[in-house]
Amino acid sequence: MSASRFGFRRRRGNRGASSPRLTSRPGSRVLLAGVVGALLIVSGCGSDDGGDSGESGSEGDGAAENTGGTFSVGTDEPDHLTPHRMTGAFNEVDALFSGLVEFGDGTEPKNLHAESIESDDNIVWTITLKDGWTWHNGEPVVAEDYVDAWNATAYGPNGWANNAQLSNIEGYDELNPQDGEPEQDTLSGLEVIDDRQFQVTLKSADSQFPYKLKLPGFYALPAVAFEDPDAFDEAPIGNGPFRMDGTWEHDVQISMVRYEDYRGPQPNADGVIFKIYSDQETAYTDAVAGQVDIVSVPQTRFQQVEQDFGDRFISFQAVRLDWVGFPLWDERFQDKRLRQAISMAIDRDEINEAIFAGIYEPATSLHGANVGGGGTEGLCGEYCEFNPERANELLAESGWTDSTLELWYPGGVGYDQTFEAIANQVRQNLDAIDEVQLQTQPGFPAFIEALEEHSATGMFRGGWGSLYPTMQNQLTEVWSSMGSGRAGAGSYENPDVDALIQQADAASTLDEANELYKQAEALIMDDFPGVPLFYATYNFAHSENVSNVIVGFDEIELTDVVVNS
Amino acid sequence: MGRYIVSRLAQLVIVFFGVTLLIYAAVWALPGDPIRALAGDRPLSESVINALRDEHNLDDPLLVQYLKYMGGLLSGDFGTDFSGRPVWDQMAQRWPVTMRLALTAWVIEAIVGIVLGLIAALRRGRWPDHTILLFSIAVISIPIFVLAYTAQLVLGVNAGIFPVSGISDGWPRSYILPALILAAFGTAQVGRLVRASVLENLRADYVRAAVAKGLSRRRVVSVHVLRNSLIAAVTFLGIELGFLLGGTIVIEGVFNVPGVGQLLFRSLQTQEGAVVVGVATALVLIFLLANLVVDLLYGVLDPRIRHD
Amino acid sequence: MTERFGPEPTDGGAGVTVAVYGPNADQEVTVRAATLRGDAWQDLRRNPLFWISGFLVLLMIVLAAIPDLFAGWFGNGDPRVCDLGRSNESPTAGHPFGFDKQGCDVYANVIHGARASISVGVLVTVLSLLIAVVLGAAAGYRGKWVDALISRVTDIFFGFPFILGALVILVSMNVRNIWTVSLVLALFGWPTMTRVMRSSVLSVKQMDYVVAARGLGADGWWLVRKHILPNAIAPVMVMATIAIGTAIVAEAVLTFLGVGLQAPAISWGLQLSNAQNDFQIASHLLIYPSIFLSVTVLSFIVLGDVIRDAFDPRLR
Repeated sequence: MSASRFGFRRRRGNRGASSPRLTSRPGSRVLLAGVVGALLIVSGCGSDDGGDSGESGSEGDGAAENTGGTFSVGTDEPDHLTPHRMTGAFNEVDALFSGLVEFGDGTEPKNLHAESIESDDNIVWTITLKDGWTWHNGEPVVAEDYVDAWNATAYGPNGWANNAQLSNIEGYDELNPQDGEPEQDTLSGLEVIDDRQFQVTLKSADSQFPYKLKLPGFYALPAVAFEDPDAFDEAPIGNGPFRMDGTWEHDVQISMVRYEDYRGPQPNADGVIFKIYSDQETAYTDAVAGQVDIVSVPQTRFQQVEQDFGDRFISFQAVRLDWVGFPLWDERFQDKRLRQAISMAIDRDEINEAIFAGIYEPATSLHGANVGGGGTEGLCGEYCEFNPERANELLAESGWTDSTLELWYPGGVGYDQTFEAIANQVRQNLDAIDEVQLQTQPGFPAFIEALEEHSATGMFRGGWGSLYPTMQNQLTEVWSSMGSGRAGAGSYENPDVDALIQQADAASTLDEANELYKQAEALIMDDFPGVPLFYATYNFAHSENVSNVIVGFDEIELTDVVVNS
Repeated sequence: MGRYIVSRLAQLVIVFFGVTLLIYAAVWALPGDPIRALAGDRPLSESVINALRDEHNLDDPLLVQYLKYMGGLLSGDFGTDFSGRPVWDQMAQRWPVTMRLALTAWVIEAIVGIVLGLIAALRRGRWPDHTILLFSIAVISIPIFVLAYTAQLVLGVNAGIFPVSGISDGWPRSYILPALILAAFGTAQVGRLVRASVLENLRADYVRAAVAKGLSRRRVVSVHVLRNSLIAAVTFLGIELGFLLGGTIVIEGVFNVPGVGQLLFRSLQTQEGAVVVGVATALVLIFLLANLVVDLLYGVLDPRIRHD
Repeated sequence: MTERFGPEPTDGGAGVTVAVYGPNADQEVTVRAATLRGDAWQDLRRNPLFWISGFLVLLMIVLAAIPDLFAGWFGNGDPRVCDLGRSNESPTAGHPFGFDKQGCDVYANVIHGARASISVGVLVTVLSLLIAVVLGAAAGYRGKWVDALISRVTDIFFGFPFILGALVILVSMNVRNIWTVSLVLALFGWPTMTRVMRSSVLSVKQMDYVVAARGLGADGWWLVRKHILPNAIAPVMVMATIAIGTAIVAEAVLTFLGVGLQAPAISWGLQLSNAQNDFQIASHLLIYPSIFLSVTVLSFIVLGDVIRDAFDPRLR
């Protein structure tokens, strides 16, 4: 498709690298219950009177008043617009809906619709809503709207994609039995106290719970959503800063206008149009021609984005890691010196420069600086540094005898150049390796199957993006033995790592939690199950029609965008 | 003739079932679980995977799935994609777009191709002939995506003559550039075919006879030669319409035209079985019908061929 | 062509026709007592196009067979010595075509790419041609149920989405080399040629001399071999010369899909599909493989045409 190109779905589709985020499934078990409840009550910043929302907004340029105008955002066709069902329409959903918290470009949750989020033990959480918020149809947003939406999401037979995000709530297992239909349809861990307050009981203590509330599975839905969920999905009634203007025009656009009664920070613009593209490269080309205002920059355009957009290009380091994983189920890959040798044969700086135009950051651990606790940079030590001599020594010591290695990855979805570069470097820098055979898989389904069924016979691509900026997510989902994404780590497991993660989940303070997560990560790096490659970024570019475009963990801060007159 | 049409239609029904089964089996045979991969690296929970697999009959044996699908099809239900959107809705929205694009390209091919072919034949060996030959060969030997990206860059981004992508300007503005690229290859082919046919016919005995009879060259060319030369072009154009319709994938991708080609490609990548079978079946049907029409036209254009 | 994802559509047409180039093409030739082959050679010898295109085709074949003969001319003949630090750099001394995204020498890669590309082109064409001639002749000559059966099978392959078929087959084979890729391309490449073959056999069958031969008692494969094939094969041969080129490009499409040739294989198709993302900033990535591809395609087409002209008795 383009030939690519063609886009074609990466992921969801297309060929370009799609939005790097992937979400997570909370699945921690905790032994200790912490105390200090109020630790996570963060006061929100949303003033009701429009304007400069968030500390991040640049001041000046008259952004304080509604500046009017409509801007457009390039996107690919969403799978759903209902938060609990969608897997890739984060900007659209955040325009239509406001969750309990938001991140903006910081790493701490700020209350958005929540007035407070409190717990004494990290198990029972009381959530209080701000007063006066309404749905786009005028009905008030009440606690029951949250509880109903969470119940519907957690109810397995509904098949809503973000089901797993609620898995640590008491009663989840009853709604998702191994076999057969569940006997109940509500979570026993949810209790409505009054219109503005409800209580959540978790299965195990979770110090990071307020962070998770940003996950789309934790949003609210109005009563009308349950009457006909599919019809609702075509023109959702939300509680966010923008409301639907008409219905979702599939493959064409989604048009929204400002919701005048919104009680969060009012948007600067009068409306936003999400223009739907089949591939990001086309969207990018359109943005260069000024036909769409904000687009996500596909990896294939990194080299020219500076030239095309100058300072209208915005890169934000997300909590995302790319790595090379190994089939740890295969005994040939047991010796960690082999894995370290490969790591040291890769010149990350050179790949970053040539393939990503220096936009990514070479990884020296599993978490970059932009995460709760400040990250773990440098944990990998010398093994993430380029050193061919040492790499050759390690390879010789490891007992690897084959002159050929394999590298598996899904083809045609944007990874080809990166992995070809890695293959070239490993082949050229390791004297004993004559060939690195690329095992391109035809798309994600086949690639994922090769990992899950342990049929991959060589090293492979790994990647994980966390939807909330704490170390918990990646550590739990990828590197622990209960993780849902552990296939991407070659099904690595270490009971000590599991134990540390559980202690961190139950920690009473965030500092303590972060310290324990770092210890867990240090153990993982010592085992060296995978080769950290890059901390990836969210990359957006915008036209001259708009200014004050801020990108953070929630992707584009749509309410801040100012349409230039 | 009537019997011939009936028997061709009967064959068509058989082919229809054969092709749909084949396509169904092909999608079914692709490795990996499309549901599991719905969200890329992020795994869905088992209960959701089971619910979705169940909803889309993915756990049934191939033949059962196929029969369920055909049962639905006969009652007008084309099924839904994995996010629950009816396939029919998507096709209803996208077919007109692809039709418009393909027909525009087709008309360009027919007119430009025949005219160029005629000019080349009548000016054989002189510069118009050589120029046209060069053009045809250039087009044949440059991959279409290279042509498309170059045209997009030069005519769209730099010169600003045409919209870069999308169909928001409607027909014809948004369609001209993609249609031109789409038509380029076929135009070269039609030109070659017409040129060669005309040359051959010009040498035919009946032309000499007509000229000997005292008919003007213009009349001989426009009535006799052209009619007899068009048979090859008509055959080609008939088949070509089917290809243009199904073959817009690259073009629709590059120019972001929301047609069925794009849908088919995307659905293949994500293994959306119902969508692939729906679109592919429609493509095959159109193709078969076009073929039938071409075969019938044969008889009309060339009395030497008859369907008895 | 690529969008049709197959060599076939591309060269499309069915038709009974053929282009004629070259100075002698329509020259009135006096009848001499000579063999057809001898006459043809006489014609070809005097046709500069024959020499030029023949030379180029020969050159490409030598290139494909012994790339090392040429690759080292500028001192950097190993296509797999790559320095990522020189990614996408423009041509310089020693690297006349510059560097690709991976920092490999483009010249060495283009030279070495000839083998895979030409092999695929030739293999696909030969395979499709064999199928097409046999099935097309059978359908056209026998008619009746043979025709119906062959035509419907042709229709199925014709109508079957190329991408889908290629994906499934290559994935299930799970081996992607020149042979498997060629097989898949041929599988979807024969229908057009078969249709052309069939229609040209159909019209030759009605010719007076065939009717006469039949009247004299000639029948069966002898008639087909002796009279029908020689007169009906020209259009399909011309298509075959084009098919070589289109197959080379189609291989690139498979690469796009992630099921084509894979590195460390080297082919023009791979180079072109890699180039597309960077051609705005590094046009040399697109230009050089395109030139080689185009020249190759062009040479095959022209050579095919002049040879056919020379051998076509009707043109004498």
